[in-house]
Amino acid sequence: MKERTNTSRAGTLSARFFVACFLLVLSACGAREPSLSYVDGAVVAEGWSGQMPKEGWPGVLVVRAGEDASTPAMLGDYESSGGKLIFKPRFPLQPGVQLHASFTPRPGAEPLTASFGEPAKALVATTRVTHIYPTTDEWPANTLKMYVEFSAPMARGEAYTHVRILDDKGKVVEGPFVEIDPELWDHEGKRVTLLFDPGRIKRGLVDNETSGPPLMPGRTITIEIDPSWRDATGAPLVEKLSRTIRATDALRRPVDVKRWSVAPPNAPSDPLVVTFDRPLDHALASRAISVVKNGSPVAGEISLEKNESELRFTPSESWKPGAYTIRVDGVIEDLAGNRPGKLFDVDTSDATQSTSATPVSELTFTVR
Amino acid sequence: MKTSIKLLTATAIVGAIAAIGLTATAAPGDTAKLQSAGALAFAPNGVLLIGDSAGAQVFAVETGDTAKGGSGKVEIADLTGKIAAMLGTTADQVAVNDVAVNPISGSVYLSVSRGLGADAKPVVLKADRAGAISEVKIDTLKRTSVSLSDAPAPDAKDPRGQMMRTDAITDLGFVNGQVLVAGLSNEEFSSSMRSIPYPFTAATKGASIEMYHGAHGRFETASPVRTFMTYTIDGKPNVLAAYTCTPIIRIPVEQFKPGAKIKATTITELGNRNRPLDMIGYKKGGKDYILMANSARGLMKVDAANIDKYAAIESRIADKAGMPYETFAEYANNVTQLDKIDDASAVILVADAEKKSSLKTIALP
Repeated sequence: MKERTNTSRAGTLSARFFVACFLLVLSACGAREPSLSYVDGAVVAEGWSGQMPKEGWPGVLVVRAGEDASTPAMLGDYESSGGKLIFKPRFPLQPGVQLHASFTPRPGAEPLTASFGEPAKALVATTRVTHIYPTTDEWPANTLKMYVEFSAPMARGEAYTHVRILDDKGKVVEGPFVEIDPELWDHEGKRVTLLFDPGRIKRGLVDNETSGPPLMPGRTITIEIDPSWRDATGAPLVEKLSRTIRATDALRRPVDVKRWSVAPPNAPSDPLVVTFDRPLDHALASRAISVVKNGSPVAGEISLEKNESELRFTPSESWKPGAYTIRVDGVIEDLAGNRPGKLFDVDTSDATQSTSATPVSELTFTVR
Repeated sequence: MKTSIKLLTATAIVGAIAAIGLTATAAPGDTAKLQSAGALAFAPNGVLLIGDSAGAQVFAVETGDTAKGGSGKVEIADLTGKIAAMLGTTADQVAVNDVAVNPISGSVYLSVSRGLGADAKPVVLKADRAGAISEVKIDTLKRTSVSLSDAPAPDAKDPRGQMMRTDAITDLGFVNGQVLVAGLSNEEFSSSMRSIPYPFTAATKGASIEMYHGAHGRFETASPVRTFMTYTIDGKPNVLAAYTCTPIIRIPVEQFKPGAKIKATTITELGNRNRPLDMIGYKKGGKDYILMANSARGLMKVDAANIDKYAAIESRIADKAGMPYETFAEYANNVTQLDKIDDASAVILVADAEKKSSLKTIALP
């Protein structure tokens, strides 16, 4: 059995797959000598003719991503035409993985073998954490969630092993997050949501009463992001990140838009400025607040400032004189999951507490 | 009244919490593409349910795998390494997201991601009772799907903000002609389960049910469901579920009505710092048990006798309460997936110290 390896040294992959051509010539005569080549990501066996054998095309050509014959054959499709048998892998071969093809040109013949592949790509650390929300350095002890945002898409399935919380003595806080499978990423894979274990935040549960909340009022915690967390290319982060937070008393007041202050724009292109009475959840405040005029939404851009305690709305077109309404959807939450008119954990023994959030709250302002 | 309990074939019930108010649409025979393969479960007649969190949809695929497939013990060492080789990649680029056994054939279905990031490719594989792995080519099989999300509202001011919101499907199940979907949002702490009649039809809008948890009979919170299984009492189907905040709850399926707000009955507290990952029900020696894969305790055998008799836990407890259980030293903390093969055996996915996953068949304890 002969085997040769041809490894492409091409430095970069273009949009089309690399071409690593390889030819084995067993005999000096004829144009249909049995051969194996690798063209555009497919293994091409030439010198075969006949029908598919009973055991299927793998009886003629089998391709494995491993030298061991016990390695399962690669998934892929076969095409047979004009003396060629072509195997197209189900997925493009990952750089660094070697294909091992074995071609039996006729029954009983010694298999022709060849290996193909491309060197592994060097991994370059370029991705970093861009934000951890909340951005304020004071978090209520019953903070419900945090968002970690990255400069590029990340690998999934590694969040809970790469974020840790240290207490004010430097001791690792055990089990601060509820580990959800699948992890809670946005569509791009650039922001992950970490929920502090609701069993430790909700009053009346065993975890809350015996372990307490992960954040103890009056004390600091340090969030550490391990740089070995891989991005979607497999590269680690550029650097470790540490951030120290001071925990404040638990926040148990419903969101109340009447406590917000509204600064109407003074000029046609000025932003509307809404100041909240506390920082709000970054993601929800970004999409749950809208500006409406005469029942129609006003196009514009929202930005959150001052540690998510201020919203600025800049209209796409100049303000027009008249009355406007600020609509707040009931899904909006503060850092502790409290919503308009409803606490995160409602004390049902208190008749004044509502068990449902106010669906829509409104504020009005006038542009003169 | 005599109560008989029959534990149904429990499957990994994937749940996706769809935000309240979302609608479900379906197009029978559609050509919707699977964008991710997560939670798996089986409906009757070899229909595989696939939770697609990235695509915010649930697929029902007619596998045609409806013949008994032998009685061999499925044992596949270094499963992720073998799958990686089949997919032309390395084991660190492969994730096995869920395992479900086709109750008809006994074949083990695996939902897999090839790749690390949001662009990872979904693959569904099948291991037969001899341990041979093959691909389930979803695109070539008859299938229907239901979308769990609405397109952004026409007046959405912040399309990017809308795009950042996702619903993760955490478990799926099939009971009483309904596909149950549990999950949760990556933004608001919502709590709905969805109940979708099967077969899917274009006119069907799944019902969204809000799940709540009462603690001490006093504090009420929204409570996403992490995993669940179904069982029947007196011929009536029930759901046994684990909240993200640990307690085990019971819900009669008849309560799953459109727009319902369910404060489920807590029947078991499992104590501190553990997560139920999967649950199956089985009968042994005429008695009912639940086998649970748990993040901190490995496999737990829970005595389910008189499961319908447990009083709701509404008062302060010190540690654990409810159904008694035992654990097994050999499966202390490394079981990540579990499903029932038959009344005598189950398949588990276990990870070794080097994070290599293997598929094993175990006798039900």
